[in-house]
Amino acid sequence: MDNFVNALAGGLSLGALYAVMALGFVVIYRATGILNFAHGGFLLSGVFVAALVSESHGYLVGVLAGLVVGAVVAVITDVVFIRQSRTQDHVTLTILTLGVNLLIVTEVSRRLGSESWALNDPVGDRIVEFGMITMPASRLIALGVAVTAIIVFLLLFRFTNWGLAMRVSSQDAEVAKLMGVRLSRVSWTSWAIGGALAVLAGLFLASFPAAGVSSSLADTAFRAFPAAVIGGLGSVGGALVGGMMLGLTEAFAATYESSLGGWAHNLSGISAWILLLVVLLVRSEGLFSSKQVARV
Amino acid sequence: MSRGRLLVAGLLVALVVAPYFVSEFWLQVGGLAMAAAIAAMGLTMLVGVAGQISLAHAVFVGIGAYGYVILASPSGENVWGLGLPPVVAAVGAVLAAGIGGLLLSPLSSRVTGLYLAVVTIGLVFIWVHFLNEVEQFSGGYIGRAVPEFDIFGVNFGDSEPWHILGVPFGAVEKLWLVGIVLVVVTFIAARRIVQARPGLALSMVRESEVAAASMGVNVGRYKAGAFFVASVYAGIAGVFLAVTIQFITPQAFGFTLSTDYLVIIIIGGLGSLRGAIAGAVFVTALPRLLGQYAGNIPFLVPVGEGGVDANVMSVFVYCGLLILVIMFARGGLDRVLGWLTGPVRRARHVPESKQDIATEPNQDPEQDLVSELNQEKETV
Repeated sequence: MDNFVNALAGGLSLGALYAVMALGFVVIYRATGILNFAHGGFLLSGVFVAALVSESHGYLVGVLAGLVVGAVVAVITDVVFIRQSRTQDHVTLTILTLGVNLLIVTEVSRRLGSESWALNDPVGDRIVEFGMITMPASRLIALGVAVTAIIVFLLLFRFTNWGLAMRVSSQDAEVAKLMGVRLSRVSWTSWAIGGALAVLAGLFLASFPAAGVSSSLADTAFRAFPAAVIGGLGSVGGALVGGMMLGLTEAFAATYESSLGGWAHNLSGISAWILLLVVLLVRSEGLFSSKQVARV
Repeated sequence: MSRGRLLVAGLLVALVVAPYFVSEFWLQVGGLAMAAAIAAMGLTMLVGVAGQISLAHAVFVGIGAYGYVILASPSGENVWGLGLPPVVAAVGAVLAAGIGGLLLSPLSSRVTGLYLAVVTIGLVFIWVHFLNEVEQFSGGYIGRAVPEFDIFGVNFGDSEPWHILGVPFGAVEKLWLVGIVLVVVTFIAARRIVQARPGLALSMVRESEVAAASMGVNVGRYKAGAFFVASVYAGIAGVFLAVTIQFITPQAFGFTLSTDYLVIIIIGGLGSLRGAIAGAVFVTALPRLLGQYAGNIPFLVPVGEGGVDANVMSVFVYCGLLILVIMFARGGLDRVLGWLTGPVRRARHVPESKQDIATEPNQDPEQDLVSELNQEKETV
C-alpha cells in the first residue's frame, strides 16, 4: 500500500512536469503546425544557463535567467530559421527543428563536459513525509509550480487577446489574418512560451532526486513527446491528461517492474512509448483531437 | 554518352582501383559510407517519394545487422546463434528486416504524418531497450563479434587474403569491392522503382492520399510496399555494416543513427537517390576527415579536451547544412550533382509538394536558367 501511494504521488508530480513540457509542444504546434524537436535543446540551454548563473547570483536569479534564455532561444529558432525558410511544409520544418536541436545539444554538452552540474537550489535533497507519503521536497514543489504554471497558462489562453488570437489563428490562419490578427506575433510569442515552459519543467527534472544538469537532460524532452501526442497534438487539455497518464505510468512501472520478473527490467524507461502505441492504435490522432474526415 | 554518364563511369573505375592507392583507414570509411548510402536510398524512397516520415530506420538497419550475426554465429554460452552459412544468414537477415517493415505498415495506414514520426521514435526507443535488456540477443554492452562473410567458399574476411596483381586483399579491400557492387545494384533497382509506376503512385500518395485513392491507387498496399522496400534496403545496409565494422554494439543502432539518416537524405536532396548517396558519403566522411586533419585546422582540438573537436565540428557543419538546405535550397547535393552532370533530369528529381510550387513559382531563377541553357545546347 505504501508503494502504491508513493507511486501515485511521485507519478502526479512527474506527470505535472511532463504536462508542462507537453503544453510547450502544443502551443508551438497550434501556432505553427510544427512538432518542435528542438524542445530538448531549449530545455538544456535554459537549465545550463540557470546552473551557471545560480552559482554566482543565487538560485532565483538563475531560474529567471534560464527561463529568459529558453524563451529567447525559441524565438530565435522561429524568427531566424522557421520564418525565413522558403518552404512552409510542416514536416520539413519539423526536420529543421531536429537540426536545431542537434546544434544546441552538441554545443551545450560540449560546455557541460561529462560531469553533471548542481543547480544550487535551496531545497536540495530534503525529504518530506506525511502520512504514508515519502517524497523529495523538490518534487512536491515541482507539483505546485507545475500546477500553477498550467493554471496561469489556461487563464492566458482563455481570457487574453493573445489567447484569442492564438485560438483563432490555429483554426484558420487565413481568416485570422484578414480579421487583423498579427500571425507573426502569435507565432513568436507561442515559441517564447513553449521555450520557457520547457525550461521550467527542466529545472525540476534536473534537481533532486535527479543528479543535476547533464547533457542527457535533453532526452527527457523526448520522453514528453508521447504526452503531447497521446492527448492529440493540438489539444491543450489533451496535453495535461497525456502528461499525467505518462507520469503515472512511468512511476507505477518504476515501482512494480521488479516484481514483474526479468522481462520487465527497466520497463519504466519505455513505458511511455508502449502507452503511446496502445493509445494511437485505438485512436489514431490522440484522445482529444477531432477526427479528420475526408470526403471523396 | 552524356557528361553525367562519363562522370559516373570514371568514378566507378576510380573506385574499383582505389584499393591500390587508398589507405585501409579510408577504405573502411568508404565501407561505412556505402552502408549508409544503401540505407539512405531506402529511406529517401520512403520519406522523399512516399512522404512517410520515419525515424525507425535505425531499427531495421539493426535488425539486418543483428539478424546476420545471430543467424551466422554458432550459439555460445551466453548468446543465441544458429550457425547457418553466411549467405543464408545474410538473406535471412534482410528478409527479417523487410518483414519488420511490413509489420509497421498497418500502423502507418492508421497513424499518419507527424503522429507517425513520433510513433517511429517510440519504436527506436523500444528497440534499444530490447537490445540493452536481452543480452543473449545483443551481447549487451560488450557487443557481439560478426562472423566473416563468405559465399560458395569464397571468403570475404581477413582469414584467406587474395592476391590481385601483387597486392594482398584483406577483408577491407574485398568488402570495398562488394560494397561498390551492392551500391550500384541497389541504386539501379531503386531507380526502376522510383521512375516507374510505383514511384508515380507513391508520389501521389504523398501529395494526397484521398486523391491517390480516387485515381485507383491502392494506398494501403503502396504504403506497405514502401515500408517493405525501405526496410529491405535498411536490412542490406545493416548486414553490410556489420560485416564491415566486424563488431556490433546496441549503442550503434539507436536514435542518433536514425537522425543521421534523416540528415543524410535532406542534405542529399529529399527524394533523390544519387543525392542520398552523396549525402551518405558526406556525413560519414566529414568527422573522419576533420579528425584526420585536426592538427592542420587551427581551431580544432583533439577529441575529449572540451573545445571544438572534430566530432563537434562535423555536427556543426552538417546541422548547419541541413538547416540551410531546408531553408533555401531543397535540391541539396542533388542539385550540385545536377550542375556537374549537365541537364537536370526532371523525372528523377521529385518535385516539391504542390503547395510550395503554388506559393513560390520562381524558386530559383538561376537554376531554371541553367537548365534552359542546357536544353538549348542539346537541341543545337
